[in-house]
Amino acid sequence: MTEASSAPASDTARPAPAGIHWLVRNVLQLGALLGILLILSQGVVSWLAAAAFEARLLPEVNRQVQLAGELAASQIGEAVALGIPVDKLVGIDEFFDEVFAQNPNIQQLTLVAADGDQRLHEGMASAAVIPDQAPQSVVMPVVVEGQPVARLQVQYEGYSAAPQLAALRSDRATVVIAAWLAGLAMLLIFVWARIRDPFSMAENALVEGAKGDFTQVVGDHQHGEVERFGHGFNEAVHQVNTSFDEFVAEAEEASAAQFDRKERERISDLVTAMRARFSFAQPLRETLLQLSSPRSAWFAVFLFLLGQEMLRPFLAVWFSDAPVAAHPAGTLLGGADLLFSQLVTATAVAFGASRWLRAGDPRVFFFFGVVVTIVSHVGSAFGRELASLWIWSVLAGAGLGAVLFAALAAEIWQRRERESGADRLLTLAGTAVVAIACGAAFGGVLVDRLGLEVALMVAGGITAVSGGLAFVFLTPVAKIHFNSTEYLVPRAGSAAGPPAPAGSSRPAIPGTVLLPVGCLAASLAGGLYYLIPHYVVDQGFGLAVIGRALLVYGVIVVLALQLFGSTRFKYIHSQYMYWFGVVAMGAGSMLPAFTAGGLMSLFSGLVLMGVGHVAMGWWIAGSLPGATTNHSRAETLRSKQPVARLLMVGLGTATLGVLIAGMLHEAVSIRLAILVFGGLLVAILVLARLVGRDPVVVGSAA
Amino acid sequence: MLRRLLAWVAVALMASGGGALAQIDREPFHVVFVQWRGETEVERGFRTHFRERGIPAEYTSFNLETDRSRIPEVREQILALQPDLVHTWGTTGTVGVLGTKEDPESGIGDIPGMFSVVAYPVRAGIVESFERTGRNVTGSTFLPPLRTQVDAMLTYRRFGKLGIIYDKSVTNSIINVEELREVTGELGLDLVAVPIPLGSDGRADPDHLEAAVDTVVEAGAEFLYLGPDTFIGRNSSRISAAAARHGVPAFASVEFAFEGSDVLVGLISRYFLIGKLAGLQAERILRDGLPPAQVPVASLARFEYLIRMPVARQLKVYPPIRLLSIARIVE
Repeated sequence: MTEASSAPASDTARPAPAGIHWLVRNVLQLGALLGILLILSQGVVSWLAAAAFEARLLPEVNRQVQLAGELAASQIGEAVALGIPVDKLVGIDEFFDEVFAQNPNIQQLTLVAADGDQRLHEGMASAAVIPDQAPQSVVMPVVVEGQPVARLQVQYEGYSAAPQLAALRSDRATVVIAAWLAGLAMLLIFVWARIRDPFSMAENALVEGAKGDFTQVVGDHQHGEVERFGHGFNEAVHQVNTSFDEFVAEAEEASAAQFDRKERERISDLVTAMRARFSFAQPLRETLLQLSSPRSAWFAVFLFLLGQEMLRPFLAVWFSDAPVAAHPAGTLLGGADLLFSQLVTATAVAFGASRWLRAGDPRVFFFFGVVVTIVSHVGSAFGRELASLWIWSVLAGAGLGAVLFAALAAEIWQRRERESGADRLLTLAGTAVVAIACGAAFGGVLVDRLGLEVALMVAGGITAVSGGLAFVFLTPVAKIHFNSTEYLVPRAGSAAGPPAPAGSSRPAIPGTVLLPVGCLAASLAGGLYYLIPHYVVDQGFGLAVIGRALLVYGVIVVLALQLFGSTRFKYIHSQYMYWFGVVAMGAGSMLPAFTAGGLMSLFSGLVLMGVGHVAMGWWIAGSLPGATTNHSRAETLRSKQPVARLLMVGLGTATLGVLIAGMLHEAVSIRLAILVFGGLLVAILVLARLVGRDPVVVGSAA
Repeated sequence: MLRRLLAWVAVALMASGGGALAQIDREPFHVVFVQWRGETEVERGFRTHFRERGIPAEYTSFNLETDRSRIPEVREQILALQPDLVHTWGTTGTVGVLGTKEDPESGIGDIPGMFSVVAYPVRAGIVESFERTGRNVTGSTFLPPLRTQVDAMLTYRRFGKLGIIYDKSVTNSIINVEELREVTGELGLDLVAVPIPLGSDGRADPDHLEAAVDTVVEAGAEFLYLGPDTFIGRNSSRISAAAARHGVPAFASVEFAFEGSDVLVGLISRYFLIGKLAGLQAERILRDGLPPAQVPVASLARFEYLIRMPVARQLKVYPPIRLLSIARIVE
């Protein structure tokens, strides 16, 4: 008998069983395969439809240009017929602008004298794009009483519908890919919550049983196969306990009936050996199995983030249209919600909301956040004054903070089984990034095609649904755990929780981690959420491109997370990881500033930036105590404390990042602002590494 | 059986068209028109509406011939006639015949009154407000909002200084100048307002018209505004011609000031349509039985933009090409 074998099962560290991974992997591969087939079929259908549409559309464009030119020439002719000299036409620029506005295909209008090449009036569409092919032109004679008095040259892009069709195709592809990604992420959450976790817990129970621990039975919160397994397992445990009791009674009776001392000692040794080999308990504890995994709550969080991100990337551009944008306090608006979400989360942690939450219900926090967020979104749509925008930003921050806190609480307090820290981190970070990227992609298309008001309504609806899901998923598990003293947060001098390992009750945040965390947060908020949207708008692209850019960023981040995750943290603490992150982040942040316009430079920059962010994030995670290791809930709670504090630092610097980016944007051109901002981050990261020391790593690799 | 069927038909006819039969049977309404300067399109529009609606009416017209001293005599005759409705034209005639809310005794007693072609019925004291007249009187306004009028001029041609000459013996004109000063101030424009000297009869002296225009032009006015009073309207030809000699275009907000003149731009309500609007209001009073106090003062929703091209060519002040598609061109 060893100490380990007799200890309660929950204290033993062990990676997740390989069988469960196999199941999850197969379900996800099936989902991915279905998604790829769906995208392929969508692509073929779209291509066929677009080809047929184009064939009909392009002649129609030419015909409309002809008609518009004829109409404009006839109106000029009417004016001339009234006695207005053709070179003295008044308001011709406004007239041309009207023609351009009504006919987006027309690029240029030139009124030329009938008897030569003298240009009398000329106008060019303000939104004219440089055509890929030489523009076509038609010449309309301006006729008065049968005599030509001038010629109107109409230059137009013969294939000007092509960019519009391409934009339409891009939007469709964006929505399909984002929907596929979001579906895959939800499938992942579903598999974790409904398959992996329950079966993992069941497997744990069997393993513990096989090792001789018959002190625990499963709860009655299961359904289907898990419920039948639970009943069977409980029956077996009861039978074993009853049999053992009967065996002990029989043994004691037999021992009492024995006159031979040696025989009595032999029977007593047998019972003692049985007690040592197996663990029995009366009454039995219900601690092993729960169907409602904490991952179920991530459905709600996923949807909430999705709804949030349908708006967040566009708020910077939206606020910049407001008359308050020039005001420094207006510039700060872009990061106000982050700042206030930090304040709310920090206040909740600092002032004992966690204790209240244990006694109460995390649903209230979540639902409060949802309601406040919806109110703030509606308010943002109508408020254009500085004061009201600040109020709505504060409310948005409060809502985000409340939801983050509720999610954090659900994740920490509802964890029951030991699991791989790396797996958990990958799952949570991956699904969060997918929600952010997909929300931005959907939001971009919505905002571009239907306006911010429609996006607000859709986002509000999704946010409301997330609130409803939180009510469904958070309740049962929360009640079970909050009624148990086993999972209370361990406090100094308190006997409520399991004893903390020596020296790790309040693990400190390594000082060298703070600056990289700040730079990462500032790069996300100031670069990705502030400068990139302004850059896209400045380059004349639609708002959907912002969403598309964030989708590219999200996909890269998810892939990079998987890539770095698969290395099993081999290089997580190494300098290589840090410097790789610095180089990738810096290059990605500054790349759009070096190349003239075009989406390729932007997307290349975002790919590098995403890889750099993940590398830096991974390095930071590896530098934190216990962030990526397998540990018990009590350890998790302790490890969450520095992580939560680090989150506060990150949110604070995110606000600072927005402020700096906003001031740079006000002072210089957007490309120079991107360059300076990226350079500043790189300089800080290099400096932090040169003057700092390596962090002391507390946790170990899985 | 046949008799019973006929009885049913009679009952059905009475039920469905009883009102119409009763209307045909009743005495025609007696409507009195009080005209300021003879018959205009307003009265014709009024009659046309009644005819189209099948409302029987007999009309008696009194022409004041722009002589306000005739007002008491006309009022006495109206009181003697006791018509069903009195319709007045213009501010002076309306105030004289229908009285004001401060002095209702000077009106025509219980006889319902209606007015047309009154620019400022509230400020002239004829009614309390557009929504609730507060008297046995209602009517319609005909002027586009003053801001719209100035915008119409600016749409034709940008300018910084607007000129106006006006008859200071008429309340309507003074109100007009005050409001114009307010509107031009809001738009950052200067206003040059020159009153026409009065003659020995206390009315504006036509002999000083050209001199008044000269004064306005010398003060730097780039556009001349012709207000909605009768004196200006009757002399609009002389005024606009004098302005044109200096190369300054003129604008009119009433139809009769635009017609037959050298006014370049007009934004007007058609008198005929004003008359039809008055007919619609009269229908509510006479046929529907509504007291005039419950019929709000109405106005037309659409106005007509007029451009006189010969003057444009003469002044070489051409209209913007976009205006040509919405304006009525007068040759």
